[in-house]
Amino acid sequence: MTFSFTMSPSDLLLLLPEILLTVWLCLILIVDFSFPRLPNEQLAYFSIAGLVATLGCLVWFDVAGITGTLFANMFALDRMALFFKMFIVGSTILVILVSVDYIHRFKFFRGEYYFLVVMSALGMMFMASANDLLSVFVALEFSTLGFYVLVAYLRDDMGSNEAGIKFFILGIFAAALLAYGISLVYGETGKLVFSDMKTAQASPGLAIGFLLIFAALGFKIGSVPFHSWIPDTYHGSPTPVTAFLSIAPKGAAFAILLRMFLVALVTFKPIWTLLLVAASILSMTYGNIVAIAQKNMKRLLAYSGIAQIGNVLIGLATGTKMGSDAMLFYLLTYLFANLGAFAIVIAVSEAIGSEEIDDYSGLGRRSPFLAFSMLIFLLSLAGVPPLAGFIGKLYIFIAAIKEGLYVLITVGLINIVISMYYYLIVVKKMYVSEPHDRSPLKVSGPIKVVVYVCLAGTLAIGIYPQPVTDWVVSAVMMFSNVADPTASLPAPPAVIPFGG
Amino acid sequence: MGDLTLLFILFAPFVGAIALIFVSNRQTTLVRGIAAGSAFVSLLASLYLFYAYDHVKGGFQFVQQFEWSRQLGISLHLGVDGIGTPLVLASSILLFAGIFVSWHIKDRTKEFYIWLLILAAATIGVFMSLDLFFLFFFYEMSVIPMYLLLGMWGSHTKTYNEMTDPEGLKLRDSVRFIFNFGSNSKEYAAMKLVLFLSAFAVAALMGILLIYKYSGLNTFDILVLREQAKLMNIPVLGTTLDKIIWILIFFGFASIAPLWPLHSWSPVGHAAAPAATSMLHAGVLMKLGHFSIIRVAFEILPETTRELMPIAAVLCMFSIVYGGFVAFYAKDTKYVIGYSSSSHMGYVFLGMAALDYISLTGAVMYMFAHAMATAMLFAMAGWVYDQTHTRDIPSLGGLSNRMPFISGCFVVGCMASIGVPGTVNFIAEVMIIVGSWNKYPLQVIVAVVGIVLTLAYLFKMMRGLFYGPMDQKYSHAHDAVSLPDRLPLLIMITVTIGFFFFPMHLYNVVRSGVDPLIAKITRVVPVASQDREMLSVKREAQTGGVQNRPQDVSDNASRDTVHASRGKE
Amino acid sequence: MLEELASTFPILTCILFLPVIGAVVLWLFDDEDMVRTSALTVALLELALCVFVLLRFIPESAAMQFSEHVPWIPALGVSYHLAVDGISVLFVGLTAFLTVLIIIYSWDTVRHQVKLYMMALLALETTTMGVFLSIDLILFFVFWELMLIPSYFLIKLWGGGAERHYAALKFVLYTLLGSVFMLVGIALLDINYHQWAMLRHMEPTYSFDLLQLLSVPIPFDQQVLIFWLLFLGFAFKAPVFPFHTWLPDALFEGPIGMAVVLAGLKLGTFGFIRFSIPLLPDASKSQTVVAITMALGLAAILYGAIMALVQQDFRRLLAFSSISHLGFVVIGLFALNYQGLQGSLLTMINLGFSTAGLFFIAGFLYSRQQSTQLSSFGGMAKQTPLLASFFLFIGLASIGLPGTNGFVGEFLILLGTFKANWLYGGIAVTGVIFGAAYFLWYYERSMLGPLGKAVKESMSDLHPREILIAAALSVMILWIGLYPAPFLRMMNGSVQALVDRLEGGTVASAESKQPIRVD
Repeated sequence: MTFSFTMSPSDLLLLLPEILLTVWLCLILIVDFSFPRLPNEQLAYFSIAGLVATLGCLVWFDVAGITGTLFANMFALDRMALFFKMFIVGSTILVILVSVDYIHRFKFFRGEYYFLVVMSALGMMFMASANDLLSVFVALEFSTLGFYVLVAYLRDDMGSNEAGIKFFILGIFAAALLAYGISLVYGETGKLVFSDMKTAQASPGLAIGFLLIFAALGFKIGSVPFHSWIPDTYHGSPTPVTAFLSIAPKGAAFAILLRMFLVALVTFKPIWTLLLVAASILSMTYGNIVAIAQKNMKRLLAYSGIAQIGNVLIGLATGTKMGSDAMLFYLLTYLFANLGAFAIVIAVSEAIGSEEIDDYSGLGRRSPFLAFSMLIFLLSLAGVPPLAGFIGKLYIFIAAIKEGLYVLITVGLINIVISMYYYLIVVKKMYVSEPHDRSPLKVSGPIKVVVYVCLAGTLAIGIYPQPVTDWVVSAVMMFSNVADPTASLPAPPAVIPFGG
Repeated sequence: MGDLTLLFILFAPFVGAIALIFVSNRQTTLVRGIAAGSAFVSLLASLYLFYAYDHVKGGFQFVQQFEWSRQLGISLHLGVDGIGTPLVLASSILLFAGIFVSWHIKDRTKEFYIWLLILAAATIGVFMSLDLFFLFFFYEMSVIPMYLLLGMWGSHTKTYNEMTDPEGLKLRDSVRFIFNFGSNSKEYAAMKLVLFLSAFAVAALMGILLIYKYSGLNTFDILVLREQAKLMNIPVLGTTLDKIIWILIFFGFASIAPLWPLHSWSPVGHAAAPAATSMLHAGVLMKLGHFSIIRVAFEILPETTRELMPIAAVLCMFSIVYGGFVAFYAKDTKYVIGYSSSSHMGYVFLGMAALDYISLTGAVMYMFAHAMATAMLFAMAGWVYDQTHTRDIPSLGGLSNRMPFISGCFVVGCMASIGVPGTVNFIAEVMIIVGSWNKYPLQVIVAVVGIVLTLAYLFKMMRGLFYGPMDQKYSHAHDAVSLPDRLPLLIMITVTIGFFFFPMHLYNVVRSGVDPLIAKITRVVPVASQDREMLSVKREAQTGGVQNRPQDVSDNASRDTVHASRGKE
Repeated sequence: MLEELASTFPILTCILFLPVIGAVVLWLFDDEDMVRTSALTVALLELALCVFVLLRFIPESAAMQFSEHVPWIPALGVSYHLAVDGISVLFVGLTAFLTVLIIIYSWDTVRHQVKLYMMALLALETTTMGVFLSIDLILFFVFWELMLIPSYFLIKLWGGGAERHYAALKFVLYTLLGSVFMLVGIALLDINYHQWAMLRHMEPTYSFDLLQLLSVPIPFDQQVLIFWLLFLGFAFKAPVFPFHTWLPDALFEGPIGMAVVLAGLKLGTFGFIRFSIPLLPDASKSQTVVAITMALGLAAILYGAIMALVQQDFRRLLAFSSISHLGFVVIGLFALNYQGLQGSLLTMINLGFSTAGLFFIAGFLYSRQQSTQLSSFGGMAKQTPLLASFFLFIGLASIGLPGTNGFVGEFLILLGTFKANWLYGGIAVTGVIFGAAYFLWYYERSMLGPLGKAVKESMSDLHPREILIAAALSVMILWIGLYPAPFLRMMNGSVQALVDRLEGGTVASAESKQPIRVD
């Protein structure tokens, strides 16, 4: 097949956000080199400015409804892509804000830190609108590249190095799987663009190929059984990077998964539903049960993250319009709750230099603000009303029950209870246990900002989700052709099919 | 206030809680003022609600509806019927009383009141929500504050303080802790309570989701579902779907009631909780269970209810007897009251199970009455604990000389809890007995024996606390003298006794809510109106006139309540 | 059968609530003498009202008189319905009379928490009055239960014995145990009425009102069930023989005042004659019921008498003797004929004077010797001739010496019993002999003979207040003994109506009569 590179200004317009960010990327690097004396804060705010500009641009696109495709459908800029790009850029901004204080732990290359963060953000933006397998591969590797470095950024910390190596090796492995899978799929169908594969005939090669691709993306989102890198990497790597890693790539990867399953493989829905149901059950259960035993806050959040991804996969497993609405919604609530939690982990470790759960004892007395916010975020992750997480979970369950995935919902509901246990253990530490020393903690400005933003998000979405639901529903309007059970009321089946 | 009444009742506590966030913990008086103020607003509003509820019209009144999520078909749909109204009143009374009961809390006063207000507001929310989603929303919301209230301001039980070894401490953070049933720490109680309730709540949620799916109406609105949901005889797994849903809903909500096999969280929770919390917990939180069963199962699945309600009739006997006996042998004041209230909830289940106009009315009135009675007892147990720092009955005694007022009120509390005449509990008990004899004579006998049992353990406890020799180390214990200390007790006593002498309005209000329900479940129009209908038919026969006889049940119900209220003049 | 004479002035309400209002007023006073005097005034006022009622009461009529009726919970058919008839009117007077005496007695014998004591006593009077005055079964039950609270505290706080806490709890528990079953019985009556009302389209559809319940038939098996349920309630309170175990403790551990009320006012048997027999005539007539109740009654007579014979303590003796006397009342009731009913009704009143009187005597002895053990007496007649003579006189009344009230009552009972069944009568007579035996023997050992060791030389005789009490009682005893006609005339009408009712049974009477319209 041939690519025609006839790019009109209007096509370039579609790339505007990426271009803007690329330019800014170079600027960051240049500024960093040319003004070595420049305090990092300035650089941080400088890069944030760029990201905010990009965000503004994206918002403008979204409002003005500017969409389209480029490079023969390799690059699709639709509402969903816009949503995920905003998701990524927004989380990047918050991550940079929380890094401002953390940065002083790095001995060298403080400037490059921002460069790398923004770079992987850029890569993920490409992932969000990658519409064929090649661009998927390129964008994915591009974004991961930055992370390889970021994870190991604490050079003289063994944990960080270990995390880096683990992440690197598994990442490369995932890349290999991805490449192999792509080649298989291409060999079978002779097509790369998702939307062209609707007509593909089922064949072993195709199945294996997509399984491999799913595995590679599974590494990205860290769903069981591809989660093995998550705990150590999260534990070892610098906390802001962990926060970044726990949000943005997952969003981007889910964008790809959505395109893959709901566009390319929509005809094979019954088959991959089973696959996803299995993956989500495993992720939820494993993540929650192992999280109970954790003593370290970051590891706890890592495992809870695995479980949360399991919840998102429920939405994907439904394979309906509503399911994808629910996924987007859930990811948004997860963004606020999780980033907020990490922000507080950073704040605490800045103040008392520890991330062990035991050291959170009496946080409620030492810093009511931090403790209260942590309480809100954890409860939101656990899914307690009136917080965003509750609505998110309910949304997903409603979408799933419309598809009749009873087993999946039952497991999900049970997992809510399990997860409540370990979240409450932390709450108990913060509020019930008495502090070792009662000295109050001081919280830096940027982190305060992040916490406030996340609090606002968590509470607002929880109390009045209507605007957000409208947004996500319109964002994935492209999937409305996918059969939606609400469209026609089905006569209840004689025997309820279990597991979908 | 007009139609905004419900919003006032519901949101006054929330507003109060939010306002408290911005007050410094040092200005204790201001903190208490705000808490009491917001509670008072809510109390006034609910008094107005109770007064203004038109029992002749019946049905759901003061209805408010705001769309909340179009995609999910959720709307904030508030409204009270004859069953919700008294419970709302009870909750706001107990909230107001509870704020004064916890007047002397020194540690983190502000946070305490914030959580207390949220707890009460959430409870009130359940009682007035006409949308399954919001019913569950508030239901879940009321659980987490319990955890914090127990954890932060609760108290360990005696045996725990003896067994605080480092091993035990380490144990308390691990999973094994949950299965360590011997533990008496407040953390254990709180954690058990939350996990237990959420576990059963998700069962109820499953039921709600099934209703949502199979009604296929894409709405959670109870009023719509009860009219249009077609859930009957859909075969599933060898039984029918409606049965599965009913079981999920019933046991999901019965856990908080608590019905016998699911009760184990409750006394532990009572024991650990601070006074005000146990008041709300035993007073209204438990009633969430019965109320939600009535609101969801009775409204939406009437036929299934008629079919399966005997389950409750069987289990309630165990509740009554088991709770009673454990209470008799318990040594800890709050365990005694806790088990007593879980045993008394058996009466409510009996009244519900009989599915009879009188008995269900009695059950609802009993919920209201029991709320006052048990809250009184908990308030006074809390006072005694504050004064003596022990809940161990054998080590107490002779306090009546130190605290005459409290011991006097305690007698009233016991009388109310037993259902001695002079308290509204008595009327409710009589109604339950009268109503459910025809269906469940055995249960009625068990219930009345339960009354004797109640007297046995309550008087035993009263003797243990207030009479006999007094240990000198309690000589510093002093009575409730200041108004804030006496007010809550006085309020609750007044309510209990007042409704004994003037029960008619309460009766009419409740009855107006019960009639349509039972009529729908038993497919029989209310007796009084039925017979008046017959009379009218006869009269027509005499005059030879042929009018169309009223068929509409609610019409009959209203006429029946007209009759009931006529008696009052 | 039962027409009602509504009263223009709510005098029964006054009688009912005067004491409790008085109790509230007492709260305001602090000075103990003030409290005593005001309590006494309240009691005297009450007595005056009751005397007024007795005077205005129309004898030889079965009518419900001075009736007051206010709906209370119309939907359930519970109403505030007071009235007196031949059965209850005398008890009202008796209650007021005894309360006055108790207050006089407690004047100096009760020393601590006088105010609380008086308040409890007056509250007790109100509840007792309520039991006698209520026509509505729920109202009746209300007062029946409320009695427990003041009684509990009277025994618990002012009892003399060491075991008073135990006794108080035992008393309350036993009574409640019985009365909850009674409550079920009442509920069943209501349900039965309800079903009947449904068929006949009567208003109201629910009713606890005695008069309306009388107007509907009750199926026989239902009657038997209800009878036994009510029986439990009344038997525990009375107490009928196997349910009596709380009585000796309560009487012995409790204060004299409480003992007087418990022994003097036969609430349990009143319940039988007021509710069980008229409401459930067919059941009451049935072979098994009569046999069982008679057996229990006779057992009570003999058991009580024999136990009394061997008691060393005077109050325990009195406890068992009152159990024995109650046996007489029971057999009189279940002879189910005119003489029997009249006799047992009169005996209930008599016991209010004689047994209660003996308890006062016990109180006098106790206040002198701080004990009622036989060992602490002996030959006291020399020191305290007055005490001894009153002791003897009242005692003879209780064993039924001709010329005293006891004779009239027991004679009528025996007459009725013999009419019903000579065997029962024969056994009952032995009870009389036993009665004479245990009392006279005890009297002989305690009052006559050589001076007991424990008896102090200088033992004061009765002082004026005690003389007043004893004299008042003696007067009543003589009056009823010599000229019982006015009292009997008050009862006759109602007793006759009761007998008719027993003849007819519920069905007949209900078929014959239209439901009575109250209000």
